[in-house]
Amino acid sequence: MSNIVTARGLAKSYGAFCALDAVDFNIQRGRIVGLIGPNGAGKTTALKALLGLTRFDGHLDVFGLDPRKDRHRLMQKVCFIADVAVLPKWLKVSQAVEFVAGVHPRFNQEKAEKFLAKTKIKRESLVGQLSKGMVTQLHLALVLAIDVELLVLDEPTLGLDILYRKEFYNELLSEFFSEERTIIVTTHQVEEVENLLTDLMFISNGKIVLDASMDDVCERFIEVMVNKEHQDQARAFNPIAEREVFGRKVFLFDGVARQELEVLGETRRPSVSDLFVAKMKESR
Amino acid sequence: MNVQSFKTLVLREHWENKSIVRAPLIIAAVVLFSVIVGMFTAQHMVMSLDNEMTHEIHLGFEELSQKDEAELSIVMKGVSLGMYLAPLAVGFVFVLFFYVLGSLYNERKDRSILFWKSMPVSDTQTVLSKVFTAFVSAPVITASVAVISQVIGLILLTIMVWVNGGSAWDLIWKHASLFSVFFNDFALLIVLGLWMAPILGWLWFVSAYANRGAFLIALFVPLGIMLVEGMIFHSAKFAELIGSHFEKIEIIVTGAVERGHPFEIMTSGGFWIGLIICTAFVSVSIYIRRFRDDSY
Repeated sequence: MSNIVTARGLAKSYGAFCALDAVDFNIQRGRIVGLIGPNGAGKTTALKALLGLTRFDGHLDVFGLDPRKDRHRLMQKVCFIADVAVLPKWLKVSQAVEFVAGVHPRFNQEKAEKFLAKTKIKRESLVGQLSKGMVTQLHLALVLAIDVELLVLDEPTLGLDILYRKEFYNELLSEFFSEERTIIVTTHQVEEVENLLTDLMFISNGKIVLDASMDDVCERFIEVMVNKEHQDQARAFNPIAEREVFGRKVFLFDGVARQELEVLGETRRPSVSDLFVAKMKESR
Repeated sequence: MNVQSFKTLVLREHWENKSIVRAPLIIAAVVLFSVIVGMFTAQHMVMSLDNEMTHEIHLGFEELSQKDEAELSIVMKGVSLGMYLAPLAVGFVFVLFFYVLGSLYNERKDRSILFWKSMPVSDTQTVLSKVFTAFVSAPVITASVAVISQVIGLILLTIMVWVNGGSAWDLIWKHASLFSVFFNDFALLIVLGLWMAPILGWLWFVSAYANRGAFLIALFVPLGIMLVEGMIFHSAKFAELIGSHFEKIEIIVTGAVERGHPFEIMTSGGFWIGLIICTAFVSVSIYIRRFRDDSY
C-alpha cells in the first residue's frame, strides 16, 4: 500500500513549549487512523501541520505536496472538519452549498442536496439558527459530497448528543469510506471510534508512543483476568498496567506470547481506552 | 486564477458584509424621503399664496430658463452630486473602513477561517477577492444607488415644476448633464476608494495581524507614532503627511463638480505612493494569513 503522508522529524514549538518533538510517521491509503492523546499532547498541532495551517520544522509530505507551500492545491485532495463551530453564523444554508460548489472542482452538488434532504435543515436558515447537531449535519453533507482522498476530522463530534454522534460515524462509513480513501480522526470519545479504526496512533507530550495497526495491537497487547493466586506469576511477565475489577486483577501485557498468558486466566483484547491509559502512564 | 472561484469569493464577501449594499440604500432612502418632505412643505407654502404671487413664480420660472446655460448646468450638477452623491460618498468611506478592518479579523474571531481554509482556494486569491470588493465592487454598487436616487430625484423635481406650471425640460432635463453626472458618480467613488488605498492597506494589515482589539490598534498606532515623533524629534512630519493626504479630497471633489472628472488627483505623486503602500500592506497580509489559524 502506498503512503499518502510521510513525516520525518516533524517538529513544532510554541516558544519554550515543544508541541511536536521530531516525530516520524506514515499514513497509508485506505486506512482509518485514530490519533489519540491527552489535551495539549500535540494532536491538533500535527493535524494543522498536515493541513498547511501552521508552520513546522522537519519534512512533511502529503500527496507529494508540501502543505506549507501548496495548501490550496492540497485541499483538492484533502478536506477537514475542525469541529462544528466553524461554519460562520451569518451564512445561509443555500449559500454554504453555493460557495463550496463555486470553489471546489470535486464537489457534487446533487449529492449534497440529497444528504440535506434527509435532514430537517431548511435552505433559507442561517447557520446561526441551526442547532449544533444540524450544523454538523450540514458540514458533513458538504464534505461528503466532495470527492477527496483524505478526510481529516479533529474532534468532529465534540459537544453533540449521542444520537448525532452515532449518525455521524455511520454516515461517514457508509457514504465516504472506501479502499481508495483515508480518514484521520482525533477524538476524546475513544469508545465511539474504536470499532472503526484500522490504525492507532497514540501521542503524548509531543511524541508518538504507539503507532500500530489494530491487528498488530490485538496481537501485541493482551489483557488477562488473573485470579489472586496467580498474581505474582503474572507480575513476572512485566505487565504494563494492572487494575482491580471485582476482587480480581486485570493485567495488560505488551508482547507476551498468548499461550503463556492463557495459563494465568481469561485473555481478551484490551479496549483502546484501557490501552491508552496504560501507555500514557508508561510514557510519563 | 480561476474565475469561477474568484466570483464565488467576491459573492461571499457580499453575503457576509451586507452593509456594502444596505448602507447606500438606506442613505439614499433617507435623502429621498427628506426631499419628498421638503417638496410637500414647499408646495404647501405655494398653495397658500395668492394669485399675484403664483404669477411671480411663473415669471421666476421663465427668468430661470433664460439664464446662462452653463450656470444652470453647474447648479443642476451641484444638486445631483451634492445632494445625492455626497452623503453616499461619506457613507462609502465608513463602510469601507469597517469592512476592511473586519475582513481578515472576523474570520479568525468566529473560527470560520478553518472552514474557508478547508477549501482549495489560495490565500492570495482570498485576500484579492477582498481587495476587489473594496476597490471595484463597493464603489460600483454605491454609484449605481447614486444614479437611481438621482433619477428619482429629478423625476420628483419634474412633478414639482409641472404642478406649478413650468417647463421641466427647459428648467431641469436640458441642463441635467445626465451623462456627466452618472459618469462622475462612478469615477468619484472609484477614485475615492483608491485615494483611501494607503489607509485600507494599513487596515488590512491590522486585520490580518491583530489578535484582539483591531479597531484600537488601527487607530492608536498612528496616533502613537505621531506622539513619539513629537517627543523625540519635536516635529509632526507624520501628522502632516496624513493631513496632506486628507487635503487631496478637495482635488477629487472640485474636479468632479467643476472640471467634469475627478482624475486630476492622479497627477499627484502622493496618490501613486499611496497605491504602492497599499500593495505592500496587502502582500504582507497575504503572507500573514498563510499561517493563520483559529488560535489567537
